[in-house]
Formats: sequence, C-alpha cells, structure tokens
Amino acid sequence: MERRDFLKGMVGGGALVGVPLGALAAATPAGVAAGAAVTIVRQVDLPFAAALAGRIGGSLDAAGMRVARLAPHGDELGRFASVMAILDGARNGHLIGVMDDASAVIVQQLAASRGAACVIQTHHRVSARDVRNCCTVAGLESNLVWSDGVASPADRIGHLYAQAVGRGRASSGSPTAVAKDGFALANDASAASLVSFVINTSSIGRRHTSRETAA
Amino acid sequence: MSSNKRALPKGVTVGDFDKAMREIRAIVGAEYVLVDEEPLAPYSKIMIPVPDAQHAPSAAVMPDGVEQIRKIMKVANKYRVPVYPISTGKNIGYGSAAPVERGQIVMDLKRMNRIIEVDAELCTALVEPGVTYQQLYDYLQEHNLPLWFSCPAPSAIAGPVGNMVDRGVGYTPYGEHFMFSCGMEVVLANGDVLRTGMGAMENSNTWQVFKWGYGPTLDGIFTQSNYGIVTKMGMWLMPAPPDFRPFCIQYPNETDITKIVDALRPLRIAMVIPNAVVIAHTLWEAPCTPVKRTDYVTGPGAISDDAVLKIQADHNIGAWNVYAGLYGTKETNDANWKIIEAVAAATGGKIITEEASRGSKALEYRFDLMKGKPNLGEFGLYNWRGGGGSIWFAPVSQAKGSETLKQMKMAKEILGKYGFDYVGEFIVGWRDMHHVIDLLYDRSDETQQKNAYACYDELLHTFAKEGYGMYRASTAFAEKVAATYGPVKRDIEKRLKKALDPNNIIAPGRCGISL
Ligand SMILES: Cc1cc2nc3c(=O)[nH]c(=O)nc-3n(C[C@H](O)[C@H](O)[C@H](O)COP(=O)(O)OP(=O)(O)OC[C@H]3O[C@@H](n4cnc5c(N)ncnc54)[C@H](O)[C@@H]3O)c2cc1C
Repeated sequence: MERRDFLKGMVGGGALVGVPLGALAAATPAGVAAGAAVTIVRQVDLPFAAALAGRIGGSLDAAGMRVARLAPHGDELGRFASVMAILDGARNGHLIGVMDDASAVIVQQLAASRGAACVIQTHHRVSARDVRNCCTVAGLESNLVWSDGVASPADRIGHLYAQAVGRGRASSGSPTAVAKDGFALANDASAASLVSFVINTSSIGRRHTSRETAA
Repeated sequence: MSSNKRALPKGVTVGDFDKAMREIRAIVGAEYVLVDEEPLAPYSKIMIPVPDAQHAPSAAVMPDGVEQIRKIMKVANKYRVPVYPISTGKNIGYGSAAPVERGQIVMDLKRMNRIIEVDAELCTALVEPGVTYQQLYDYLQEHNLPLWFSCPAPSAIAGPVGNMVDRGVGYTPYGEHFMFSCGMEVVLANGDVLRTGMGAMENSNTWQVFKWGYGPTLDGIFTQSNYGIVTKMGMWLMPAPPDFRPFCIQYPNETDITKIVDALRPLRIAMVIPNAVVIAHTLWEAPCTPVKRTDYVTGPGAISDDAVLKIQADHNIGAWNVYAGLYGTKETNDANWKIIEAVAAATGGKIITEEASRGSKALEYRFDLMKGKPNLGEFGLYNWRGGGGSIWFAPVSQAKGSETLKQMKMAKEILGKYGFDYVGEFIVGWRDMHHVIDLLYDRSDETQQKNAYACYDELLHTFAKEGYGMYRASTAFAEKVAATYGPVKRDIEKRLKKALDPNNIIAPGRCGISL
C-alpha cells in the first residue's frame, strides 16, 4: 500500500488536524501485502463492538477484501488456548480486533510473543454526545486524537484500517451495508471504553510443541 | 507532533550503529534483527505514563544461544551500543518489553526456550529465558509429573526467568521466586560465562539443589540489576500436595485490615498457611468479577466510598478479600482448617471454600494461581478504568496491621487527589508485605496521563519520607526509586558496574544503575 494514500485517507477524513504530513510519512505501516485476508475479531458481549466492527468490516468489504468474522465471548478472549487458536486462524494476513481493554492486551501480547506487531490501536470512549478516539500508530511518537458524532462514529476508523491492511482508498464511501447501529443508545452514564486495533499477522510462525522445546 | 526520529543509543553515531547492526546480523542472521518501525512495535512501551519516545528501542535482536550472545557482547563493546535483555518481555505495568532508555537494542531471548531438565525426584527444573509458565505447565502435564510451580498472575504469557530476575512473586508456598531459584548461568559483558553456586564447578551435579556454593553468593547481584544476561536458571518445583484447600475470607470494613493482618501473620510465620496470603481490596476484585465502573461512577475523579460500599453489597465482595490455602494431607489440613475457621470467626470474616467459589471468576483465577495453574484472569483490571493506562506502585510494608492501614490511607488520599481509585492488595510474604497498587488511568486522556505520572511521583516521595521503599518499579521511575535507597548503596552498585561492565553496555539505567 502507498503511504501517501494512507495519509490522504486520514487527512481527507479530517482525522489529523494539525499533523504535518511529513511527520506521518515515515511512520505509517509499511510492507503489508495488498489483498491479504483479514480476520475481524469482535467481542460478542461488549456494547458497541458490533457497531464498530460492522462499520470497519463494511469498509473492508467496500474495498473488495476477503474478510473473515469471528465473535468470541470475552471469556474466550481471556483464555490462552482460545486466543492462540484465533491467532493461528488469522495467520498470513491481518487481524482486526474490537474488544475491551483486558482482551486487547491479551491478544496483542500473545501476538507479540509470536512476532506479530500491532500496527494501529485506537481507544474509543463512547458517550451520549460523541465518540472520542485516540489512535496510536506504530512508529508515531504522538497519539492521534479526534472526536466523532455518534451518528457516524466509525467511518474514519473503517477507512483508516482498510488502508492499513492494504486496500482502502480515501474515496471509498461510508459502508452502507451496516444497519443503523447501537452507538445512538449510549448515554453519559455508560461512557463505555473499547479498543480496536490492527495486527499484522504475516510474521506469526507455527507454534512449537512442548516436546520440541524440551532438551 | 513529531515523527519518530530514529531512536539511536545515547552517544552512538549513525555510522557506528549501522556497523554494529551489520555485525550483529552476521552473528544471528538478518531475520533475527529488527530495525524497522513496524516489526519493532512489540518492543514499544505500553501502559506507563510517559511519552513512548522515552523508551523507544533502536533495534531488537534475537540470539539463539549463549555463543551468539557472547559474540554480540563483543560487538556491543566495540561500538559501545547498549543492549537491553528481556526473557518473555511481559513486564506489563513495570515497563513491558521496552528498554529502560531510548535507543537501547532489545535483546529478546525468546528463541532460547528450552526446558533443559526436569528432575522429578529432586523436584527441580533448569530452564532457558524464553520458556513461559504455560509451556512449563504443559510439559509437566504431558509428562504426568505431579509437580507444581509458583507463577505470577499473568502466568500464561510470562516466564520464570524474567519474573525471577525482576524479583517477582507468586501464590504457592514457593511464591518468593528468587528464593526458590537455584543456580544461574550468566553471560557477562566481556563474554565470560558464569555459573553461580555449585554450577561454577566442572561436572557438578548439585547446581540445582544447593544454592550457595563456596565463597560469596553472587546470584542476587544478577536480579534487579544490569551486571549480566541470565541464560539459564534452576528453579525448585513443589510436589503436588495430596490435599489442597484454598479459601477466601471476606471482611466487611476497610479498617478490618488491621485485625486481619495481625491474626494471619502468626499463621504465616509458623507456616500453618504456607503460601503468600493475598489481601485484596474491593476494587481489585470488582473488575475481575467483573463489575463495571461506569455503573457506579458517572463523572470524573475517584470513586466515592459510598459507591465502593454499594459494589460490595451488590456483588457480594468484601472490603478486603483474603486468599490463602492449606497444602498437606487430609489429616493435616483438617487440623489446620479448624484454626482457619477459628481465626475467621474471631475476626468477623466469612469463609468461602473452593466448592462455594464455583462460578465466581475472581475467586477461581485466584484459586488456580495458588496451585500454580496459569491463567489470565487478572487482566480484568484493565477494564476498570479503560483506556490502557497502568503503572504498579509497590511499596514494602511490615506485616503489621497498623502499618497496612497507614499505607492504605496514605495511598488512597494521594490517589484521590489526582482523581484515581485505590485498587490495591497486600501480599504477605513472611514478615513483610508487598503492597501492590494498580494506578489505573486512561492513557488516551492527556490530563489523566500527566496526573498519573504526578500521582506516582507524589506517592513515591511521600512513602519514602515515611521510610517505605519500593519492592520493584517501572522503568520510567527507576532512577527516582533508586535514589530513595541512598548514596552509599548506589555508589557500590556503580563500582560493581564499572568492574563488570566498564563500557556500560548491558541495560544502562536499569534499576538506576549506570556509569
Ligand atoms: C494483570 C497483571 C498482573 C500481574 N501480576 C503479577 C504478579 O502477581 N507477580 C509478579 O511478579 N508480577 C506481576 N505482574 C507483572 C509482570 O507481568 C510479571 O512480573 C512478569 O512475569 C514479568 O514479565 P516477564 O516474565 O516476561 O519478564 P521480562 O519482561 O522478560 O523481564 C523483566 C525484566 O527483567 C530483566 N531481564 C529479563 N530477562 C533477563 C535476562 N535473561 N537477563 C538479564 N535481565 C533480564 C529486564 O530488565 C526485563 O525488563 C503482573 C502484570 C499484569 C499485567
């Protein structure tokens, strides 16, 4: 994917007000294989995860990507064996996670143990008024922070992730396939927190058995 | 905002750095040297409240064994490039896998992941740094060995060498991990390979059974330090007891901590309770139950005492929740159980047995940890506040009730001032306690990040004034924590560094030690 396209997408979406292009140029994810498969893993028992994952998935569909969708329960994302199995299934492409903070740390850390980098991570805070997003991109020293209205909270994220996995274009429109989603149900008391992220799984290797590692 | 200027080691030119990397590539193979931003991402700092740039690595290298490490040491000395060794790299909340100073080369030992030996008769193991607790657990299960080890809470993903080297703790009777390690192999900065204790003798078969050897005992200087790279470690395993009886005792009031500690200390010292007793506050239990903070707090700032009381009532959680176990035969455990029941009754605690705990996530993961069964239950803490910020504040206290109440009140007041909740637990070692507080904050909120740093700083200095030191600290506060231990100790540490690593190439700055 072209770094310039990636940047155009973000800036075009108004996401990076005040960020010099040059500063980002050196920092955007590189080396991702165009057309690689993507696995979206959304935590099924987490409010707003379905809405956000739906919009991200819509962006990827619109960009013509092959997308697999998994919806594990938070309990599964807290278990070593099931997360390892998810990573096994998502090898050689990208894994996009939409889950709570605890599960996100576990998935990212297990992926890191297997050599896979989390290239973008965004914390989302959903309230009745807006969705506040704080995005960390591998290699960028500062976070990208912006707010969206609850009416279209995830479009930018969708574009951004589509570009990060190698296919999206700045012009790809809002994903229409996604039904009106649950963000509008947020109220101030809930101010829910969730995390989305992209892991490049191309470097995940085969797992060693304990017999192989026994001397 | 600035882009990531290449993070180079302090005082090293681009030319020298590139030459060093070329030579290291020739040693380990190009695929095991990472310098680009994306592959380096797993070695970026997470959680702790300082800018990522402060701990950005310049590269990561993955040697496959001692010989490669020795060769890398030569290159590092030649070009004065510092390396930061990690074993499994999961020091989350204390610095993760990132180096202590910007520009250091992370030496990731994960390829060295062999379980070299398990002696089922002597109940010992010899492992390399890349071995995880989960791997060791699987090995013992597959080989039908009735042996347990002690592990920290993030056990499934962390490993015994890294944890022991940072003097971590676990929850079985072998929970003081450095104490139950036996024999290390260490590559020194000049490439020499030292085996500590009996391992220094050729053909010794007592390396994993007798720790001390002859003359000064050196093992300790390779923990919480930067005097060498640990490449093997012996550890003691515990025979699975015929009868294991974990329990929880819940107490209704925050001030109960005084009587809890005073009642349990004698049992711990006399080893009626042989494992590290954990005394967890409501707000440690709540996120692992799980309880949602947003159901109880709507505005900014710390949670109110009333809300904490409501959580206790709504979810059947104690103000304090004591976890411990009996390890023995049915007969000895029956006898000791009577003592536990009597203590609980006398102190107003409610006992929850293993049977009664079924279905409670918070209790189940604790009970598993007390028998060394790896799990990830405690990660639930990160859902309390959300936003991915955490730093452990971990002072030591005497195992005396009055001390614990004093520390808890001091911490709660300072945390509250900055808008943070008291999420803490006491881990009773023997005569000491590790008072571990998870300072949870929202990293996506710049104000909270700044407040978290300032809060830790104030905690550190206020506690130090009262004579309370840290048992362990995050890389961001290594220098400040080391300073609280006074100049003489630091001077000795520096002189040791000069003697063992005159070019300052192993993790300079770790635990405040540098030339
Ligand atoms: C939810 C949660 C709960 C936790 N609970 C506990 C707990 O109960 N007990 C506990 O102890 N910790 C706990 N931790 C902290 C931490 O995750 C563990 O201590 C973990 O074991 C450390 O990571 P590691 O084993 O991968 O060690 P590493 O990260 O590999 O090593 C730790 C440090 O030791 C040094 N080091 C590592 N290997 C070597 C080597 N071979 N030679 C020289 N120096 C080396 C490095 O400076 C490194 O940064 C917890 C963390 C989380 C997130």
